[in-house]
Amino acid sequence: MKSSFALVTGIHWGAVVIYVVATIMVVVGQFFDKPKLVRQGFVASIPGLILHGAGLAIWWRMVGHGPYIDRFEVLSSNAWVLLLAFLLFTIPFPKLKSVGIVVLPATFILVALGLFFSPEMKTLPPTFRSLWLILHIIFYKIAFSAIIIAFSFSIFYLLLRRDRLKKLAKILPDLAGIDMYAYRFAGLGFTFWAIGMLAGSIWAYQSWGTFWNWDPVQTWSLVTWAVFGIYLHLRRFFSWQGERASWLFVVCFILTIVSLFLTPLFESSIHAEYFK
Amino acid sequence: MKLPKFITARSTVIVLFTAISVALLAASSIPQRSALGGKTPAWVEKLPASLHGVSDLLGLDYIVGSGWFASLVALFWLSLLVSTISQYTATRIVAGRIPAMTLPHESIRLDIPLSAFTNLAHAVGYQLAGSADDVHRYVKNRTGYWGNFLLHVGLVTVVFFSLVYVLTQHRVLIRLTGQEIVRLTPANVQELHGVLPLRQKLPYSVVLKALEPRFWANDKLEYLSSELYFTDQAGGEPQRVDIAVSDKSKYGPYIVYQANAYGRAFDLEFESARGEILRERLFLPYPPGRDVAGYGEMTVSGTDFVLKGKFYADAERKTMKPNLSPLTLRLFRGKDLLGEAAIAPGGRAQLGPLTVRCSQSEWWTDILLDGTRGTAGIFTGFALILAGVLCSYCLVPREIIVWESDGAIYVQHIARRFTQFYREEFDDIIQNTRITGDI
Repeated sequence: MKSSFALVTGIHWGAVVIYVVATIMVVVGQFFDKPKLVRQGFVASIPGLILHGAGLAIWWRMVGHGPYIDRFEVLSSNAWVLLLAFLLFTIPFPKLKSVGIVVLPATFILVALGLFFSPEMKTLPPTFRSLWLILHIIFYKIAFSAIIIAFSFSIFYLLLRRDRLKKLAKILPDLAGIDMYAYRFAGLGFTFWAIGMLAGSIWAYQSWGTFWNWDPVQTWSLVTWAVFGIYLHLRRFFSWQGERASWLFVVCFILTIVSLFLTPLFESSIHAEYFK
Repeated sequence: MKLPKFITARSTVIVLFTAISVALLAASSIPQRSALGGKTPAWVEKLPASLHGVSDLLGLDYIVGSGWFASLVALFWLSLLVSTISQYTATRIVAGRIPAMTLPHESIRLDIPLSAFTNLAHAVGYQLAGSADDVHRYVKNRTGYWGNFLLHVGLVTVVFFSLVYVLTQHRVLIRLTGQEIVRLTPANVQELHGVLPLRQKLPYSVVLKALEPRFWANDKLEYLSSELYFTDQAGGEPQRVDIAVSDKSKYGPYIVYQANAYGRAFDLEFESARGEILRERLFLPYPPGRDVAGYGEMTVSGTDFVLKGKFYADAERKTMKPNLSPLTLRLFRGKDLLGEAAIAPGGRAQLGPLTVRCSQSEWWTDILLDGTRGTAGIFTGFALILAGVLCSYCLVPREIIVWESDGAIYVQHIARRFTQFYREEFDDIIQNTRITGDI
């Protein structure tokens, strides 16, 4: 068991090293206008993603459950889904590659943070045996990925408006385009968050015979989703855009972090086993 | 104002939505019977007698199960239904419309034949959706037009089945003790009812034949299952039903759930100095770890004695499996400790002024019978809403309108949402042609 443990940790550190190299290539390439280097950086991240995925698969087999209880496995799998979703999104939306300078560092920071939390093999409570739980978690991870991308665009918008990141401006869409990307990915995050909540309530119904019981994590998740809804509503029907919309999205992002990572720590709930 | 107009008016919808939201907010802030397994909340019992009638009439202790709440939801549903029908008509018109013959200012002139343009448009997913005279309409993602309609259908479905749920709610919480046949009557189970007087017929009886908890090496619960036998009538053939946490079963019109609560029930006989015999059952939760006891307390009926009890899973604390660990009892009157004793099942001991005998120890657990209807419909409705959102969000319909005029064609791009976002797609088509000039 100890050797498997060391193997998983080693694989994760290996992935971190590859991600760091890929990040350096992408950042240098973007700031010094070397598109070839940027491309190579993205290609270099793929072996990291494969290695990282293998590490997660071995871990899954070792602990006998998906990566959704221990902090290490939650952060590591979030990072993996984030990078995979980002690389897939860049196929239909090539301009998304500019967000690589946020997504790639976020990926290796999340994995490294998980490793610093000391991986633990946690046991699964009987209520956590459900296919709906797996779907619930996958959808939240996809939502989290879309939200990080939207957050990156919102931050780009705010910085560019203040004449920062000028070197990056060449590879980014124009300000209106950046704003539009933030809007679109916020909508995607909102949709997957909703699907995640729905899958969660089906899981709750299967396990406890009730689909909603207002526990703190559920309530915060609903509040976050509602604020995302307000953001989208203000954009669509009240013409909110640019600066105002970007700041509101920063608030949405903070709520997301609180909802996903802080409420399970402070409150006792049916989610109490998660992330502690 | 005509009824359909009134029912879909913005002010009507806002009033209904606000009323439902306020009711739900009240239901989540005032203790409700639904959260107490059907028991009347303490605040109702503390109300002056004159207010009991008002509370009952308004259903304040069970707002979502009250008639007025059901009426609000029904009105909201009607409003949504009328709005959905209008949405259907509007979508059909939008999806099938042919633009006017008049050329708009922002169209682009292309000196290529229509067939060449059609090929270029086809290549990126635009299909001919209709033609009238010399105007042609090419559309990409036609399904996207129906996103809003689908969303409305989903909303109608969710609200309708929520109403069904509220009307038919019937949940029965039962505490079972091992090997004991429990006769199920409204008097001895906790029931939660919806608005309608219709009830699912309760099974005649149920018995818990076996309860099996399994534990991980770190003493946490891994699995909890029950073997139950239900009968439908007196002397009827018992029917076995197996349930476990996260693994429900069906019995008749009910879904049977295993609750997380379980432990050991100790049957105690108290004998006072005057020879009076009292029988009590002490339910103790199962210890959460081999070094931790399961604690509980109760008031001994007809006395002011408080009995506190604890037990370990294993007397030697080496395992989580039940291993004839003695029950430790303490008897209090107020804060005064009157006596303490440890007894094994079948044993007898002196506990202050009382003699206590533990006649037997068995497993106990709670089960839930849910006969409510409408849950599947609610989930289906949500799925439709999400399909609608995905349709209108990921399949944004884009149109290219083509006018044939003066031996050339004039084209215009229209996206229902995110126009700028999809503009590049149109620009790519134009780049592949020879732009002769804007008009």
